[in-house]
Amino acid sequence: MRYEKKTRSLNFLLELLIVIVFFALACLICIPILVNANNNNKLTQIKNEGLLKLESIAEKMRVYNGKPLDEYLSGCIYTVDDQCLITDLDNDLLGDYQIIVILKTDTQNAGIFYDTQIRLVSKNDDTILIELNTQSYMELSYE
Amino acid sequence: MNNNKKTTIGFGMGTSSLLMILIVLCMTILATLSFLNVKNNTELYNEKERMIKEYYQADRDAIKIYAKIDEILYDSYINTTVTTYFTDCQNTLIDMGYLIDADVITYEVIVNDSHTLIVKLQILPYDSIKRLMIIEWKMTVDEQGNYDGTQFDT
Repeated sequence: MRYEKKTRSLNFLLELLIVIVFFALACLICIPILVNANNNNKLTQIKNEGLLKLESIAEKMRVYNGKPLDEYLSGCIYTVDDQCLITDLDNDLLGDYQIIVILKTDTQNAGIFYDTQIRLVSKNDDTILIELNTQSYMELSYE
Repeated sequence: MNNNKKTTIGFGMGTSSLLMILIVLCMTILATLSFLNVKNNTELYNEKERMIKEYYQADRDAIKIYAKIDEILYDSYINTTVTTYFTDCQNTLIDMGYLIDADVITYEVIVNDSHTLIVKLQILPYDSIKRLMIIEWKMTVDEQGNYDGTQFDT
């Protein structure tokens, strides 16, 4: 009787050990997938919010009239000539990112082209997450 | 005779296996659902980003054409008089392949397989400050899609 009870306990212990090993294996597969999914989801959210910001600036730059960028775009600070930096994006998700606006001007006989590159860039490693290019044209008067 | 039989509910053989199967199944389902959700969100975002970039590229092309037309009008203004300005502009633009109906110029820029940007410009009179006025600058859908989901296949 005692021998039978001892064998059952050993079998139970063995089963429990196998279960723990399988459970650990399952965790080893599932947890990285969950973590990866969470990270990707966060990145997509950041990109979504960033794209909205870039679109807003792009629409504003489509009707650009030649004013200095720091007056024309809110929160814009000049870094070098015709290159502007917006660091405060007023969004918790975009805390680690900043927007760089690069403006190129091309004057022709009848008008001026304003070519704008708008980039969402990481503050830490300067990687470009999204880039939008837009252009505007201002007619010159005859004089 | 003793009738007080003790019934014990034990954590016996097999229970832990069943419990593990249940937990692992739940974890797998949760992981799969999360993965699918993220995959769908990412695909949706990529589609949106592609569409926006294509629109801005088409918009840039349309602005370049606008500038070309403006340059033609500017040259006509310099080289002609008030009486010949309009006909000179019309003739030059027709020669260059633009579609003109009275004083309205129409051109199209292809955004992608299913969208087109249509621009309509009006040539303003000789004595006005500006040369062109935008009447229409809109994106149209060429085809409605088949709605069986295949248009989202990559």
